[in-house]
Amino acid sequence: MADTLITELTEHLCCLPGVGPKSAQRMALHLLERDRGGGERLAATLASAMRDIGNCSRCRTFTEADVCARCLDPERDARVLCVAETPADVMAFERSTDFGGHYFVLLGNLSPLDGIGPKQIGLDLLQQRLQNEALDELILATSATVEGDTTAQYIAEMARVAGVRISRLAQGVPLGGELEYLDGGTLQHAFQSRQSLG
Amino acid sequence: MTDLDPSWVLHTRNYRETSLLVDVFGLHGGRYRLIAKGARRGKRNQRALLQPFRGLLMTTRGRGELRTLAAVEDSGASHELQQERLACGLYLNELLLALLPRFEPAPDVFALYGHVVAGLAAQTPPAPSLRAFELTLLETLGLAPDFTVVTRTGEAIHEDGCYAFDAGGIGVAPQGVNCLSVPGSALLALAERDFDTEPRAQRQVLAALLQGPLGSRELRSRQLLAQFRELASRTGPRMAAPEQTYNHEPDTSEERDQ
Repeated sequence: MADTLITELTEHLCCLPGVGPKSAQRMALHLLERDRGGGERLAATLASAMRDIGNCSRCRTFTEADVCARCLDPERDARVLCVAETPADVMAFERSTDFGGHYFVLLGNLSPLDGIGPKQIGLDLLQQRLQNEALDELILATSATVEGDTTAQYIAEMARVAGVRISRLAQGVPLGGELEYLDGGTLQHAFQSRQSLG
Repeated sequence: MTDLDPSWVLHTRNYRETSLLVDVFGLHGGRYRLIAKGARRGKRNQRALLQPFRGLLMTTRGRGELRTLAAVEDSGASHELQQERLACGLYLNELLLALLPRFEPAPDVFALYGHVVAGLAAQTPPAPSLRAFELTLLETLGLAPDFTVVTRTGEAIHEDGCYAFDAGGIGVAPQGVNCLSVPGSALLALAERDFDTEPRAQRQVLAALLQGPLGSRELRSRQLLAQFRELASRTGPRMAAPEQTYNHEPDTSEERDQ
């Protein structure tokens, strides 16, 4: 009988981003040769993670509970809601900003050309939150792409209907950016959203 | 293609860790797909350029189905579309992606595309320019009938007459359930490229013609446009200010989805 398990393991490791057949083979052999315990722990955790992790019923981020720890945290300001695209974005905001409100994670963007509509990114749930919660501000933290713009403008309309104040992350000159090398679109944005000093 | 080809990005999609798959509409290259390697890495800043509704100059490498981006420059025309107009812009892109054959230059459509996108950004009433775009696209695809005669008989269309219309052409009298009943004046106006006469009938005629090659495929940007309008109709006066020209223009594509 051929060594089908090794082949299968190598093939399945290829589902990871950036892992091709050669890296997959190296990983498989490493686990088999040097770290069987680690491999078993990885297999067990992976199995339970895939089985138990779902979406938070309030913010849609990944969690094994019904409501994630961030949504349950009484220290966070429930009157400010930040709409983010991915859990990775949320992690970046948590790491680098002092934002202390709640999040709503879209897990995507409105993109009609990819067949992604408002339902697929959970806007029906966001609509309910806009209606049922006493929000002071909705912060739109979507990408500066056409899909991010479409999403932001759509949610902004929803927030207007619900009478909630809306803001969007600033777009313009990056820190350390020299103006001469900025592309025209960014420069145009930077001019449009200039701030008064003093 | 070694020269810089004036181009528009129709759609982008992430590919692997740092690359982008880009659907492009070029003046000389027509509609094609390319891969922009490393475009999502900060250094090259190509991601900022490779956005829909930005006029670009592009050079590509390769001859196969999937080309590689060699160089891209800003051509200066950058349009920012808002709300429903953004959905209208996506509609143009979706039409081109769905209908335009690959690698076939369509200079008339290309020229009009730039005007229509600029018009959408400039808050002029969008309906006439959208109709002009649809008609030009149909003409390029060879799908626009002669609007001055009844297709089968060659009999001239009368301004006061009422004609049957379906994907098969213009008939003498309305027949069947899937057949539109269209005033002759709407058809004659289409022949003259006058998009202000009987706008609703013109919109229906062009939509019926476009649905032929689209088959059962539904355009998602139309659905998005309808959803935007539904939301906008529920908002108060705040929406009315920037959209005034649009809302007061009964000939817009408003009923396109109904």
